[in-house]
Amino acid sequence: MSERIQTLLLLLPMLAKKPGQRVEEVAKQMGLSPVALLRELDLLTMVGLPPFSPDDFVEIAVEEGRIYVELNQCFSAPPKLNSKEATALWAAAQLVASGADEAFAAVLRKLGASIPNENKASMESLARQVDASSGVLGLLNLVRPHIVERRVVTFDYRSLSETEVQTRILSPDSLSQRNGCWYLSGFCHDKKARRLFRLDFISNFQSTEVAFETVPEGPATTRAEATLEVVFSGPMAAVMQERFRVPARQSDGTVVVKLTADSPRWVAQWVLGFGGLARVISPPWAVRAVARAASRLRPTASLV
Amino acid sequence: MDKTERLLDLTALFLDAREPVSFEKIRVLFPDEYGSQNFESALRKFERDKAELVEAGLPLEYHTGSDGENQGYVIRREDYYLEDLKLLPHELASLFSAGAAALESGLFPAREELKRALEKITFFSGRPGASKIQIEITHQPNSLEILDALWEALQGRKFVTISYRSPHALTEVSAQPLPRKVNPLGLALRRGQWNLVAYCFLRQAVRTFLVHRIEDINVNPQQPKVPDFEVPQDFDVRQWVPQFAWEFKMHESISVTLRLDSSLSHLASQLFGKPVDASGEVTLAATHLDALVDAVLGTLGAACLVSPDVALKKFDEKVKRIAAAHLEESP
Repeated sequence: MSERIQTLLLLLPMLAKKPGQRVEEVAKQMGLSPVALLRELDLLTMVGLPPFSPDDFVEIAVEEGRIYVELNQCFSAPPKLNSKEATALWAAAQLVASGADEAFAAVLRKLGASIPNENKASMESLARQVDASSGVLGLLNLVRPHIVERRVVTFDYRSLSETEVQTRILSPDSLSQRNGCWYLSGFCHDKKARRLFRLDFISNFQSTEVAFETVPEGPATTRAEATLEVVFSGPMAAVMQERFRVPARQSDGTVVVKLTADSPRWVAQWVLGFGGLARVISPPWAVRAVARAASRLRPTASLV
Repeated sequence: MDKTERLLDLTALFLDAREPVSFEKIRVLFPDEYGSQNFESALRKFERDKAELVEAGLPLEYHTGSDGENQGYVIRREDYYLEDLKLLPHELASLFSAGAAALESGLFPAREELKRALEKITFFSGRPGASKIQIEITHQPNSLEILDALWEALQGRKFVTISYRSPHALTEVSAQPLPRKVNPLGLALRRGQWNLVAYCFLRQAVRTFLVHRIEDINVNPQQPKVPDFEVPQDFDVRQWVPQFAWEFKMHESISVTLRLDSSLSHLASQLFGKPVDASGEVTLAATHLDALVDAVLGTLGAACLVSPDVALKKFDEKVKRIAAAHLEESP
């Protein structure tokens, strides 16, 4: 019940503020079906102030799929954020901002100031209980406006699987997070193809101030990919069986995972990161890449 | 009259009133709702309605006039009406993008609250141009249902009974998920996975559970509005679910120093959580040394271990093992 009341107290001022909104759009915004929204609008026409004379009711009209509302001044603005809404927003904000970030701290202060005092303790308590932070960097905030404003960017890039730093020119169109890592994607003008860049390997990020209309389609990749077969053992077998949804294990308890790979250096970096619990079995070039990389690391630089 | 309609009428009345509204006046204004019953039962009905409005977050309170006059119920307008948060355009864009990404991830708690919050923060300024952000979160078919139940239990401080498919169960096909009774204390998203931090009655200690490994959940249905437990005052979920794998508590803390070459030093904060010092080194407290050594191995030599000896030895053993395994395979 309390959820429904909160939704309706928000819906009324939203509709009154912007007359003529489409039923489908409002329904989508509020997470309702159009039919459910129309039912709620029906109910709202019964809401009013005592003594409930005709002028005391909320007036709602739906004409050609658009909603028009006239109402008493008392519903002119929605209620403040309550502690649950503020906490939900705060938890989501952590997805793209770091707690140590001053700009984020300023947003939190504004959020905190906007909720009633008696709700602050509840929000602060919930804030200690929910954490969606992804250890993100300031670069995310720097990159995001260029996607919205469609501006070409340049940056230096060197992933762990590449030997040299390369300068790239990109028309960026989206950010994504997989396995806790952030990636920037768009059309790479150097490679004439769509490319994905891990955000934390980007440096010297700059705007060119050159605008673009749409991101050229281009091929998803121009590299030849091969199927990599890797055997996982020990505790990593269970984890990788789950991550790659491998139906069954081998009789010795190991798990064979198949994935695509296109770079010997990437394969070596990925496999070594499992500390000996991953062993490549094919293709031969990938096996050699790991053997070569491990041989170069022995003995450790620090023991020399 | 529909109950929702009655609650909204009451809200309109309180917001419109210039002075506190007594229950006697409410009975007169709502004769069909509160006037026709005896006083006691009408008052109980009103108290239930009032509780619903307070639960919905309305700042409704009883005002006691000093002179016996002006007694009654009020909604404090200054605490009711949303004001412009005065977010700068980039702050609004950040918050909105983050909220939209959380909703689209398909696995985020408090989605209804989040949707309303996004509408509220954009009420005065309109929706900003949002950048396309996608968040991938590990889930199973029923993970959303599980997360919703956990969110409900977390807020209501109710214990839950879960069926948990532990990593141990993954190694034995015949093993059934273990039923556990736990007090949920916190939720944390790490590396695209939701983690539940909870007091486990079976282990009699705080434990961390991956939400996508919970197969079934039941929130204690008894007395839903009465908390079953208290969350310790100093509880902070971040202390239980670390950002980096070497911060999991597998042993006593070991101080480990790494040296990063120039190609990696500017990424030290992202990869290791701290910037390098003037000599290109970073010292970390590791409670899971194997994980830190593995992270160093994954840099292919761009980072190397400086101390202690136990870490160097572990590194060397792993390198030898990997090399041997792949030289055998290498055609």
